Amino acid sequence: MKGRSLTPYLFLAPALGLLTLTVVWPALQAFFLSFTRYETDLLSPPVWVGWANFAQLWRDGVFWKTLGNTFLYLVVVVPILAIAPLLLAILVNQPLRGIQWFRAAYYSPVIISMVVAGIAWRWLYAPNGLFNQLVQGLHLRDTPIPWLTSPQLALFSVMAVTVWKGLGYYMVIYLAGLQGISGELYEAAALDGSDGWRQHWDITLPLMHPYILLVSILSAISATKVFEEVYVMTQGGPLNSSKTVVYYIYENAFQRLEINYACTMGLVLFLFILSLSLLNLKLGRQVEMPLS
Amino acid sequence: MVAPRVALTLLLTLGAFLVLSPLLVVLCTSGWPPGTLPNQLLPPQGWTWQSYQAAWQQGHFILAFANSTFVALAVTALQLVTSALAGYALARLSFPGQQTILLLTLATLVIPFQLLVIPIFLILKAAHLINTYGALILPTAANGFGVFLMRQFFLTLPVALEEAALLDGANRWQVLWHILLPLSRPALVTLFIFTFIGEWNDLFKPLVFTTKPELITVQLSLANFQEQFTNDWPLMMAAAVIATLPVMIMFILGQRQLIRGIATTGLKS
Repeated sequence: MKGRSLTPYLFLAPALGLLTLTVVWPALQAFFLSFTRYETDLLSPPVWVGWANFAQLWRDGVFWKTLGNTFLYLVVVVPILAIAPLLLAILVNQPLRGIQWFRAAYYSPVIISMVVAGIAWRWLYAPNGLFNQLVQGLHLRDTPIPWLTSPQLALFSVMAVTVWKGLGYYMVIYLAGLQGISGELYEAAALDGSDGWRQHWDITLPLMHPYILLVSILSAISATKVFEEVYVMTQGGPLNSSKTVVYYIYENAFQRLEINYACTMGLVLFLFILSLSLLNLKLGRQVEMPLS
Repeated sequence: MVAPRVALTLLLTLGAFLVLSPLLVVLCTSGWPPGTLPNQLLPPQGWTWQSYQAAWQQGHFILAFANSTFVALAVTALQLVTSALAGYALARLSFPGQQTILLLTLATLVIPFQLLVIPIFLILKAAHLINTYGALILPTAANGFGVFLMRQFFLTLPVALEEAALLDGANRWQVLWHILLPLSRPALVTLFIFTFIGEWNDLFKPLVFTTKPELITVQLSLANFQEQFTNDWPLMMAAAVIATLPVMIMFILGQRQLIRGIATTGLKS
């Protein structure tokens, strides 16, 4: 029966082999690269430099700026993506003919590529775009608002795209949770005089607590990885005002070829995401999570 | 009960209009001739395919479509095979180290691709795969999420079917191929759509791992396009619509499956 005991490993081999090559080994490699430096080119082995990359990071004003931007991203985007999709999910959980078409409509921004979304929103933000026409049409302002070209606004304008693309995704996660709530609970609540939105306050919210936590953590993790929105819409400008950590990593690795320095940043970001994931595990035992 | 139902429908319609309005603007703008400056508040004045024709030619979309389709199908096929095999082992076979392997598979999901991308770049460079299809396919050929999704789905199928086949002398491979996979259409379709759309929409891999014009993908072509024609909005919107059409069609055909897929297989065990 020797052949039989090998069977599970043969089934696992392709997936595990590829995951080792594309995740496990690169992750270890990233750790190693953070403590080294390529002196001349990428073909000769890198030199051990200890904590030098981390020290450089500590003194890098732009890194702190991007870390601040990423943190601001979290603080603004996560609460919106934790609450708005829940309201949407409650709406599309109603028994209504054709409700699946509404679900599909709310979900559709999710399947559109970030490049297309970025291009579309750049057009909406244009001086003669939809938003400025509305603002001027309502006589709120005479001159167009520089949505993407003002250091004060650019980051927030990019956030709007992240929110728009995220709504439908988290709505579906909430929908899964809502469909697990027994209808009898609402009937019982109705007998006790709780109806309409009161019901959701009394029943939905407490029961959805684990899902709210899950969505908060998932959206927080993805907010720390924002790259494509920024790449397409602002390239991190003006004056680094919309530059995120991942965009700065990309810039260092592939434009300045500071491979080791970029890895160090990636490692710091990873530790940050890891702590979010651990928080997730600690707080969210009630629900089976897809990503932890 | 009629009044709340009408109010609900109105509310849902208004919400859908708001969510879809950026896409409506894209669609309306794309019907203008290239080089014009349409008014986004007004409905389109007529419709022309000129911007589509110009975008199709200038974006080199034939090549980009061929490359993106090939890469997305290759990645999807590899992910389906590796996920089904590993998912089956984790769901149905018992062997030493099973729990550890499951946990490790899930742990791979926590590591951001952006951290891995630099070492992967170096590995691909060492293997002389930079600027090849391999660089676009191999880095995502296996995925912990796919393995987990297939495992979760196999767990929901009754064991009795397999036991009968095993008693009749079928081996594990035959059981998976002839009995479980035909029953796993929902999970396979969900994984197929997810992976295909994800790969079609990916900008990061082609941006970082390729520079050769022959390997251009749809998203990279679109990103270059918008740098080149910064202010020709009808042309850019037409290009955006062209680039989105395949995944839109796939989504409309598979939307029920997809939404149910996330709602059930992805989240609940």
